[in-house]
Amino acid sequence: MKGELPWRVIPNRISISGTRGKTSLAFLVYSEIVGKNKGVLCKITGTLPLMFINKSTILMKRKGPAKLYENVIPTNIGKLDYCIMENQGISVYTMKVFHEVFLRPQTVVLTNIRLDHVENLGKTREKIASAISSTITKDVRLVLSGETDERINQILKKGYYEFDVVYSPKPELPGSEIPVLGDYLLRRYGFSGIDVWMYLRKIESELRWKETRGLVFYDGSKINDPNSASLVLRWLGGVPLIILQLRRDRPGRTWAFLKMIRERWVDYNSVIVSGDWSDMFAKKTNGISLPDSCEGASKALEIMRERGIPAFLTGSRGGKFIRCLLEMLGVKGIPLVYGELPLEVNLKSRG
Amino acid sequence: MSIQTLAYLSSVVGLVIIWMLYERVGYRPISISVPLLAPYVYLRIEILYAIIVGILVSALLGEIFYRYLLFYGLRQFFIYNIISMLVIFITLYTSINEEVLLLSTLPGLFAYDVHSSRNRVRTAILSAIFFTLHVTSLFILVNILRVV
Repeated sequence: MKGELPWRVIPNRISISGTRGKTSLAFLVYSEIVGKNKGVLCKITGTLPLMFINKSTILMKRKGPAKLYENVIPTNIGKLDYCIMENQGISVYTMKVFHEVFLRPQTVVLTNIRLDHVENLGKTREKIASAISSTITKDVRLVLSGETDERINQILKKGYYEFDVVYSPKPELPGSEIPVLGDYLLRRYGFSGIDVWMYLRKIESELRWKETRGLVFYDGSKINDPNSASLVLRWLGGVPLIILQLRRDRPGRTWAFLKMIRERWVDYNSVIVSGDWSDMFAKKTNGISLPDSCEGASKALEIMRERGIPAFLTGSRGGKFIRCLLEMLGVKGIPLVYGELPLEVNLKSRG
Repeated sequence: MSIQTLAYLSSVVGLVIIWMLYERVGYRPISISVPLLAPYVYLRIEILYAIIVGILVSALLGEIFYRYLLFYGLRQFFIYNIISMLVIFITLYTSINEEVLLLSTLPGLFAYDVHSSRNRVRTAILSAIFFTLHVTSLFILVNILRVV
């Protein structure tokens, strides 16, 4: 395999782990460090894996499913001081392999612990916390947590590393832990920190119901876990229609959203569901099952018009139903992360 | 009931116990190869050394593949099993038969289960304890029930 392992060539290594906000935090910290003219490498993952090396951006080509080998870095990158990588593992094993052989971080940031990837990590937040903490290797010196639940933090705490919890000044605002963590992390590494309130205001301005052609909705299709969906819904307020896209390859997610709906974690009017197991889901929640197609999306749009109440779209972006519905609502693309890409974007392709 | 039948049934019971433990703790604290290895060793004690050598060599070489060649996941699983089969082939070369063929991947499976465990040391120790208990229980049962 061509390339180099980050731990062999970059002295300061930070792993961004946890459930939500990993990409945003990695990019935020990277943007600040690169702005200070320090040598930095950042790797973010998800549907669009990108590697930033100083002010260049490399779009990584994927052949088939995501593999940890995409964390191998190019050899001719010169001297770099900082490496910030999003932990792309979704099981205890892959998260551990990422830490153990690819990155070997000295600092691990855990953004938050939510009910996601339950099939791999466990069906409660406590089990997920225990699973994630077991992936933190013995070389780690500092663990930062953005989690506000003390019980969860007690599980994450271990004797061999310093453990710091960072609290948001506005805990009810979903995602507010991300800039606060970024600020704390930067200060710990000797940088000047960021204007946290500016970021909080930005999040606040984006977290509101949108309106298109008389239809009120919020695109939470990238929100894949019920804890985060409930937080956002509570923030938005109202008693909405929940529109949920399910996926065959995410049975744990289906289970978790079913738990959220049946246990009424939030107030809602009714549920429209599409994708695999949607009939069963609708039956158990007195909801409406629609086909995973553009016809299903048209029908959902009709229901939205009839009811005249806000609709909260969530679960997944990977389904024909949700893609068509978002298109019909005029939603274009996904905001990648906070801010913009670096000024001198040099998009190269890497196999 | 024959000793073989008892050994066979003990394997099923062993697997059920490991499954229950998995349900309780949320991960695999004991290798699933143990309930198969223990009755095998009880029935043919002379293969014990081959199994131990198989586990140690697969674990050691597998770790090298993991650390230096970045093998992980299914790739690593194949490596452990291939090494295990080769070690068993060499150590039991003079007595190779269909039983040995079936046995050959189990030490590799043991090594993989330890490698992929959330807590490697704990899984290795608990697997060794479970193995000893399984063989001892079989020995006691055979003598109490006086099966032949």
